[in-house]
Amino acid sequence: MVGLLLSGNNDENFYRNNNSASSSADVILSKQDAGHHTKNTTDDGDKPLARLLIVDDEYDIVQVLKVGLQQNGFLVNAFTNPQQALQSFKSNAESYSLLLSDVRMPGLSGMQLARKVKETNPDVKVVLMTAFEIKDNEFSKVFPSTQVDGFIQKPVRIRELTDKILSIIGQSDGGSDKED
Amino acid sequence: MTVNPYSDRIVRGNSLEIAETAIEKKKSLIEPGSHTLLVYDDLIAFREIYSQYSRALLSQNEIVVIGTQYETINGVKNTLRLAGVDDVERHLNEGTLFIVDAQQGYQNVESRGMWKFAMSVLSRAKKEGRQGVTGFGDAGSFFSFEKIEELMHYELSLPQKYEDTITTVCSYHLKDFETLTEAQQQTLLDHHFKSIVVE
Repeated sequence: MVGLLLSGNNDENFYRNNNSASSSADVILSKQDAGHHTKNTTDDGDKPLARLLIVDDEYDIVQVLKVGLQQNGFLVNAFTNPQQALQSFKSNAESYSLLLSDVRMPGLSGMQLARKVKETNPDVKVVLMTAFEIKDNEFSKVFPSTQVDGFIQKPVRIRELTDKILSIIGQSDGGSDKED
Repeated sequence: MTVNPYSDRIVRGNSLEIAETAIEKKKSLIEPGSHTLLVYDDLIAFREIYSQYSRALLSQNEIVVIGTQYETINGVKNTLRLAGVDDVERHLNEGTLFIVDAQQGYQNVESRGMWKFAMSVLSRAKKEGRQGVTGFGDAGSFFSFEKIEELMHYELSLPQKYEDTITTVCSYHLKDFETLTEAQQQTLLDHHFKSIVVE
């Protein structure tokens, strides 16, 4: 199940990943979050804001992120398997603007994936997300030559995530509410 | 569940079968005082096993330490609650259950950090007259930090059987374990008192 509708304050409804026992983290998508860059959504044929590669080993999280960011105008390729994500990335590395990846994944961690992605296309921005405490120097100590452009603490709201991505890829619209 | 015909030290089975062995002490696959290897094929399997064993061990007056890598500490708490562990918060408050970030335990200062923590818990367990300490430690951080040599060195530094009432279950996600060379995998399987492989 992707989400459970919960009643929030101010009549705001939140879709929260409800697989609490099996989930390492939550992503929160509110009705107001979705489509706050609707003029650029791919659904209506407009040019997408950017192409994103999303990787998280939790299926529910990937789905929520994918739907939320697509609704906000991004073209999204999402994977639960980092190896498959890397293969897909390598086949069309120039088309991606940003990698958004979980840090802790078995087989190929977000840090390792980030390094391989940067090796293939150094222009791609990298944002890592985790539900654990963020220690960015931990990453730079282990992989000093790989630049990470941002860290995100889960749980995260789609709106905040969208703004962070836009600011990192240099397409910030200067106010996330103006298209609501 | 199948037992290797050449050695009863390698047990293969599905996670439900393995988790069920926690219920009866005499059927337990995790021998008290042993250095055991667990390879799990997905997080659901790992949850089934550590939660059922934790429930059984806590009821047998043991202290349980869970070092988590791919699941948050709150996620582990929820898993234990769903598995029927009575009053997880009370166990945490009383110090009979510890849920820690394995990455911090293994990588923060040194790879033996988790081990030292478990030994300090053992010292307290003795004072309180507990049966012993059982620790589940996920080794995933050694892979994400690409410290395989350190991992092998750490594993080989621990004996198959301890002279004390401590039991360790070195836990590996299959996707991590498979990145080891065949020789490294075999070394680990051979070195542990018993190896449990979830299929």
